[in-house]
Amino acid sequence: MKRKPLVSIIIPNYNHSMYLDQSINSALNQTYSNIEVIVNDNASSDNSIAVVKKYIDQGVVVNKNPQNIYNFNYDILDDSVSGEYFVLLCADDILKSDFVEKAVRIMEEYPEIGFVHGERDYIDEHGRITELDPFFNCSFRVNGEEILPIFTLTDIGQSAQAVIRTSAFVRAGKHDTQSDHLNIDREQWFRLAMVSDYAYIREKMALIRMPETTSETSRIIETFYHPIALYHTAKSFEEWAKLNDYPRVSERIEVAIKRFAKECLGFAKVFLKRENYELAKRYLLFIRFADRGIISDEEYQKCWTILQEKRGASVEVDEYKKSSNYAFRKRNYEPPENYVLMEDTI
Amino acid sequence: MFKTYSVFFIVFVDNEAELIDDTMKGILGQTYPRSEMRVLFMDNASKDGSYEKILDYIQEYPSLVSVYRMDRPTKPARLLKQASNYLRFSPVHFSMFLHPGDRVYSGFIEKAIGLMHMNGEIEAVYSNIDICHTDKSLEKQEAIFTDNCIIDKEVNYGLFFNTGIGAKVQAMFRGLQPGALERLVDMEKRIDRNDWMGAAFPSEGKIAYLTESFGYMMERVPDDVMFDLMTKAYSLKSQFYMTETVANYTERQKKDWADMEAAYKCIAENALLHAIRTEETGDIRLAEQCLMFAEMMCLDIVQDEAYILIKKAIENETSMQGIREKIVKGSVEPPRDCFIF
Repeated sequence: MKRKPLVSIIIPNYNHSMYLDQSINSALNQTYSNIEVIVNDNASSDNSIAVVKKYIDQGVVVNKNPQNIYNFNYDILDDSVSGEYFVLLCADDILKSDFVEKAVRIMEEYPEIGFVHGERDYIDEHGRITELDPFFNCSFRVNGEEILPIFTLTDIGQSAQAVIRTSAFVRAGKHDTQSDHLNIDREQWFRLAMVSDYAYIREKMALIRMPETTSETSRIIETFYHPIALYHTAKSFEEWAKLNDYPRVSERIEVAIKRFAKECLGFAKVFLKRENYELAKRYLLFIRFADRGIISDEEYQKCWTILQEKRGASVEVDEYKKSSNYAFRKRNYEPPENYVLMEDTI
Repeated sequence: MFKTYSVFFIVFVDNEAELIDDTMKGILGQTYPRSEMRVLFMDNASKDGSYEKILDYIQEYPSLVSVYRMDRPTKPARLLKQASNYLRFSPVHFSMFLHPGDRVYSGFIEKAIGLMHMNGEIEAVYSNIDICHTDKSLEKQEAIFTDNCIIDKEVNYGLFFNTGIGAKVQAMFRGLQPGALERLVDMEKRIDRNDWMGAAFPSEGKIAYLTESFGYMMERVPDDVMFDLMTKAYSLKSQFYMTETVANYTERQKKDWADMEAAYKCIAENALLHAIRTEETGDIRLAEQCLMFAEMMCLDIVQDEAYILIKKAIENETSMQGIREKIVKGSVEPPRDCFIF
């Protein structure tokens, strides 16, 4: 009987000892039988190694970097993949037990599919789950080029939501350590879709850790890193599109940047409200830089006037920190053109 | 085991067949022994005959020239990474990264290697260069410093942002070690390696700067100026991420913060230089975007004379002549702690 292909579940970890039990167990408890679990510790200073040690008897391997190598850790992770398929499971995320089985079944049936996304819910630091609307309204498979333009606007899923075919991953050039570390997944999906087809399972397949207060989000927004990195990511996609002649991707970039500029208006308001006029000004300049037309937008004009008059206290705004805001987003989008419904395979 | 070569020239080719000869002439004309040099062309799947031309050179100089051709076009950082992978069995002592059309004058390699042999701490030698315009005319650049000097980057990090605004340089690096290369890839993607400000990265080690012009580079105006500026801004934001997010008040932190602000001002001033260049093309919209970008990166720049004059010139549609000199200042003395030679 043909042996099932090996699936590597790689768990990158940095000081997430409090979540590691859950992530490792979710990897070990997969209904799929041929799995290896490798924890890559990026020089944690907490008791992560002690946690992983409990699972060594069950075949879990842990590699500990001599020092924190930040984004370059992706290069190390890439080298750890020996399975025909793999999942990059962040140490604070959790897989549903049948995800690997379902995804591998699809990819074994359709060899041209390079990666399969499943759906997600959010889980906070206290274990409370926030249910999210699925991104698409059905399970489907589609040609990579059809899904490409969508990745210019959104990531659809984070790393724990994907089972990836290693050969497609190699063809796509593996991870790009030069990417913005917060957009590295999206960049990865984009390049995978350039070289392979895509499938989507409309079932909750992972729990993604989203603390109620995300300090990382605050930092990137408050240092003005966020808009520059996102603009850069969008334009990088355009660069790929030009190199490979994807006109539909190029068309989307302007829309993506404008949409993002609009989102930045929310940040500008937050900083007006906090009377941090310098940062608010940077955001308002960025918005105009990204979308020249916004100058005639009433909301934008209002913000600009408030900035000039320095009366930010009057601004009505929702703080951006509440991750539960995501729960209110309505999704259920129609899949991209030429998709093939896939309810039967799943 | 494998031979270790003295010097590797890595030339990135992207459909620039007509410029390859110029670069090869520079390499062939070096006073350094040819048997100690190697050229690797990294061809980004060119379709204009570049690859064929490279193969001709291989036939003519089989022990000097080699090539790696990508099967499909990719981005510069990936090309550089591929080059490093390709060279892993061909260790090198020194390396130079070139684009077709860049010319290294005959004595540079000998001089740079001599310096690095003399002082083992120098990780790279930078020199002044001329700018070759599209009509083949050469423009002399004023040297950044009045004297040749050795700069300790860790001590003088901010110097790269406070001096030589918009200046172009050429560099020879010590080795092509994997660790160093990761950082080079980083630079390649973000900061143009011919930008003086790019010499700041990585931030440790020492570099030598030569005031004499030892080569020329083809004038390269980015296709998308705003993307180019944003990419550099992204580079700086990443570089200073820790400085910007970790707040404490040690002396070291204060210095880092000052370096960061100098870097943001530097990129803002680069944007002003692009705004001035639009006078040739008449692209007012781009000029306005450059001003907006400059202010976004450095709010105080609106008080600078150059900014005010450019803004006025755009509004009144008058000449921007003479404004550039307010940003690009002449040669300055090296800092006191530098070794001058």
